[in-house]
Amino acid sequence: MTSRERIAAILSEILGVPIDAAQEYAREQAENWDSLNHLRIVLAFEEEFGVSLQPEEVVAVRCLSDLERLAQRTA
Amino acid sequence: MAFGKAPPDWRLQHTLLAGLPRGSALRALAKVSAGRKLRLRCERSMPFELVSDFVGPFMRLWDAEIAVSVSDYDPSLAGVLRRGRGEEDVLLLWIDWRLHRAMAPEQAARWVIDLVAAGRGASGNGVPVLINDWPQGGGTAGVTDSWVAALGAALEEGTRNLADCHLVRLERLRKEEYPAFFDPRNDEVAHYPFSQAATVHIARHLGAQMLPALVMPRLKVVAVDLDHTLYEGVLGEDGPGGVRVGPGHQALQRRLLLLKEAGFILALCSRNERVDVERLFAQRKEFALSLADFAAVRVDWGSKPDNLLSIAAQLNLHPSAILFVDDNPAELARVAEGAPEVELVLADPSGEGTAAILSRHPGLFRLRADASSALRTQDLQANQQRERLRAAAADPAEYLARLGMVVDLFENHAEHASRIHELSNKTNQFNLCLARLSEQEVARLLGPGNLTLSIALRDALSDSGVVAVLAFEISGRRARLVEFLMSCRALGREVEAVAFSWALGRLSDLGCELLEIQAREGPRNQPALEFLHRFVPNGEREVPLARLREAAGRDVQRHPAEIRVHR
Repeated sequence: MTSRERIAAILSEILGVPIDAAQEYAREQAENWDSLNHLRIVLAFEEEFGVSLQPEEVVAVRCLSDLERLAQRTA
Repeated sequence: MAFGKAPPDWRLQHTLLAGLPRGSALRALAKVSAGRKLRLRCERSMPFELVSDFVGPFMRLWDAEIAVSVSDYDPSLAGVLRRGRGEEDVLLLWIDWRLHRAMAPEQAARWVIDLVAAGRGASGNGVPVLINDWPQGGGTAGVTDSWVAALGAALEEGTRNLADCHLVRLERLRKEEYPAFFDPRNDEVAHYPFSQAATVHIARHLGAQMLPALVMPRLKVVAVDLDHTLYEGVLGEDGPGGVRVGPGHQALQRRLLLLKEAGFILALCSRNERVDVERLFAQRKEFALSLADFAAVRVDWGSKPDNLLSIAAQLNLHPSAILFVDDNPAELARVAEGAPEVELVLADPSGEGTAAILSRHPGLFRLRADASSALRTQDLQANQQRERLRAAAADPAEYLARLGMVVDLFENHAEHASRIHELSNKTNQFNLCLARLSEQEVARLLGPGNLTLSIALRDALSDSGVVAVLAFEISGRRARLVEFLMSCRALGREVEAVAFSWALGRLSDLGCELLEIQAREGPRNQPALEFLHRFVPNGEREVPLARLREAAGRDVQRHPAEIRVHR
């Protein structure tokens, strides 16, 4: 599984919608990407990739590609 | 809580209880329908959803699932005053105490305790209530550690004095093992101050400890194997001096002692030579446990299922009250087959994981301190001496006379409320009405207009403490037996007949002429039903008191116990 696919799986599981890793998926597309689910996504991402994001990074995450960039940075 | 004939999933047990599971591992556990569904209503001023995400997996350990409903965010928690519609089993007040930092801590605690009391008055809703305290070290301006400590102390006192109200001790969880309890990033995003590790820890405390303690029968006995469980090695091969005791084994032995101090009975069940085991405990000074800490010992070459059933019989307990710890999955599978109601833990060779599992296993958590824990092991050991006396006596009367029993009868003694509640919720065999009284119901039964007797027993061999309860509601000339309970430790000395006879006399003195008895048949309360059958052979629901009194009086007229009454 690529990093992007692993991130898509996290988003899909938490938001409860099918997400295609080949496509972009942004916060605006999901009605239920609220602050709590944002936190669930970030915490699951950190655990999956064994990283800890800076506070400003947590707030700045807006889409699948943002998370992919953070995953690549820490790889 | 029995797992049936299939042994538990050992990997799941270790994942959930030995270390701190990852969130992904918890999310991956498929939702399965369980034998019991618990409905939890959460009135809150901060997010609870992140915790509730993870509570369910821990409840799989006791075959339960959870349905959570959360209120809107409301610092005033006004929903507590909402009229209850019987839609929840537990109410949780999940409070961001930082919002109340302008108040003195004692004032803040008093506010929430008064709110719970007012909510019960307004709604008639008597479900158990859980309230969180606050962990130190959060770093919020105005929320100093001394403010948090004073709040915790005030909440402790307030919940101790309010029936069926218990504290979710976040400060205690913080101190256990996770220094990073707070995560300011989570606070910034969702006003949720705790870290992911703290969240899982809180969820486990609720799902594996507090919630089962509220609604399930507790375990009473922890039985342990020896080889590769309490130490590393095989006693029969390595000898008492050759087995190895590592830090994990010492931690496990200390954990078992803590369980004993908390009121659990320890038992030993091992295939070994008795003489080797006696030498082992005598020689190994680094053992925290001594042989005398075990109320029942089965060290022989018999089968473990048979020996565990024999321990249950000796202690007068149902096998489902026993948790057995062994390192051998094949041995545990045999126990699951031959004694399917015994609960099982697979020991790890180092002892460390076993100690951790026993610190969190469902059924081993006490919401309140056990009122009679100090007496229990000694009393159970004395029962073995009583059996020898009984065997040596010419007849039952001689046996009872030799015991030198003193029965203390306490009438509406509020100091025994906690013990009465405990007996009602843990007694399974001599439990006539299976009323499972809440703390609120106990308080009412100890109040005016009712007669509640708490009965203490001691004899020449031991002090058993408060072992029985008789509770009646009185309405004019009618009395209703709400509950009749007796600890299985005290059975076999006819004290139940003595107390019953005395209570009937007291009801008569109070002007009662008719007794209503609504005995309920449960899975294990045959001893209580058989006792009642002695006096009410036709199973009548309403019995003239005079007739019952005569029959009961006849039964105990030669009982040698000294009776002392405390009003």
